[in-house]
Amino acid sequence: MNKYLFHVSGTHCNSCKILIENIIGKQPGVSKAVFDLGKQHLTVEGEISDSPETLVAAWSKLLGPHQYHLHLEKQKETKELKSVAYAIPLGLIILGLFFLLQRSGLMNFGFAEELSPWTAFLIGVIASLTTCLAVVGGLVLSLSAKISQEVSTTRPLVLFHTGRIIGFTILGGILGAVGEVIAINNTVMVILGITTSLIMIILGINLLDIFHITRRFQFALPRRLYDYLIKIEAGFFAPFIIGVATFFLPCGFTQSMQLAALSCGTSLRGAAIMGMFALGTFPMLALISFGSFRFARTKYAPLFFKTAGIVVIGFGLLSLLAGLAALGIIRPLFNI
Amino acid sequence: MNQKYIIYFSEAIGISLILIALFIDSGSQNGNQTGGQNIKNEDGVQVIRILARGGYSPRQISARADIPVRLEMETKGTYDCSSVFTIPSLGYQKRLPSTGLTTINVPAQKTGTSLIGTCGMGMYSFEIKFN
Repeated sequence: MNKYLFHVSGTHCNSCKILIENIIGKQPGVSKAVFDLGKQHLTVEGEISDSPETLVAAWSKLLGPHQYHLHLEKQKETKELKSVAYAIPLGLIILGLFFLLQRSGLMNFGFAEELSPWTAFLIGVIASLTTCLAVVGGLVLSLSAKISQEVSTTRPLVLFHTGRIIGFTILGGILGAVGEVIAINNTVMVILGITTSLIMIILGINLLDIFHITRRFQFALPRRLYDYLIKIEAGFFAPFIIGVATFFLPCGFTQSMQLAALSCGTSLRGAAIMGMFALGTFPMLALISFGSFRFARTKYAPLFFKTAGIVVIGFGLLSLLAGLAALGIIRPLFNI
Repeated sequence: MNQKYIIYFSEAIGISLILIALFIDSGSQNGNQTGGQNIKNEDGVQVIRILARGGYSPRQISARADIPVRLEMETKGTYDCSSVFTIPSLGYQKRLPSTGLTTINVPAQKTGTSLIGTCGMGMYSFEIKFN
């Protein structure tokens, strides 16, 4: 019976812990593999005849595709700190450009009185570049970055976008058919928006993960839930439903499109307006989500996650403050 | 050493972009300030007309206290957040039509108070000061 201690870098969360334990635990001779997320130590016990050096070489090949790195010696964390140093200015620049685009007035044009599906498409494009980017884009960025850390296929992202476009079309059709019967109360929408912004801030801090503070306090993902997450890779439902649910995400453009769909009278027209609007938001949101996925698999992954963390926290704070102002709790601090 | 300068430099760019954005804002705010030309008096009611499209304009309005106000919210092909209009302090919420004029009657307000209107998610706002 021997016992070995390894140092692992590149881990983000409790799912990584379970994944590493699963992979190493299955190796020949290994009877027990325990990973300590706080210390980033992997303790392996079993009847192992190979030398630690051979094990590192062999197991690195197994962990490499997941962006984990196995070492015998403790690695200095300068690399991670350096990526934070780059991420802060990068995140600030992205936020600054976003504000500048809003303030420039380039995006404040009106549209023809009669709303055609083609206009709805254009409004969708603009929505995905302006105020909606702060809410929907921020949420898509944080979820995609999080998903990219957990699973290894783009399937959930594809399903998310499919769900969003199909969901918008069908729900738009329903709105067109029932007409002015339903109206979603704005206070409910604002509270939904504040909840969304809080989720964004938490996910953002999680992505930023300086000094692994959140890692230590992170709620341990139960194994059953982890198995469920693994199923998401092959699964269909969860990402699709989240995509459909973005219909109810508060964003001024979506709300006024819903109003247009409500008042247009026929379900076909309602479906066309909402569907085209969702299609219009697709290019930007696809860029965000598939871009995250791609970056997560390069050597720039730590930098990307941390920059995304800063941008998401910025957008989260922005919509949180705006939401509080809309409820009359605080004075409006800014006008986008 | 070189990397340090790159970091400082881009940090400075990021912060100055945000500051520029804020500066552009205050600039347009001054230009948007209205004390008279957008306010008409009709039968003892001050009528204030506000255009809602990609935000509200004007955004800073000074009106007379102790006189009822009629707000005329004008929309011209408005499909953004500003079409979902709320006045939190009055508990007023309304989805404005994409094009049209919506009037809101506001009772007389006391001197020194102000009335804030925001869009649905609070990203745009305007303020009427009573004095």
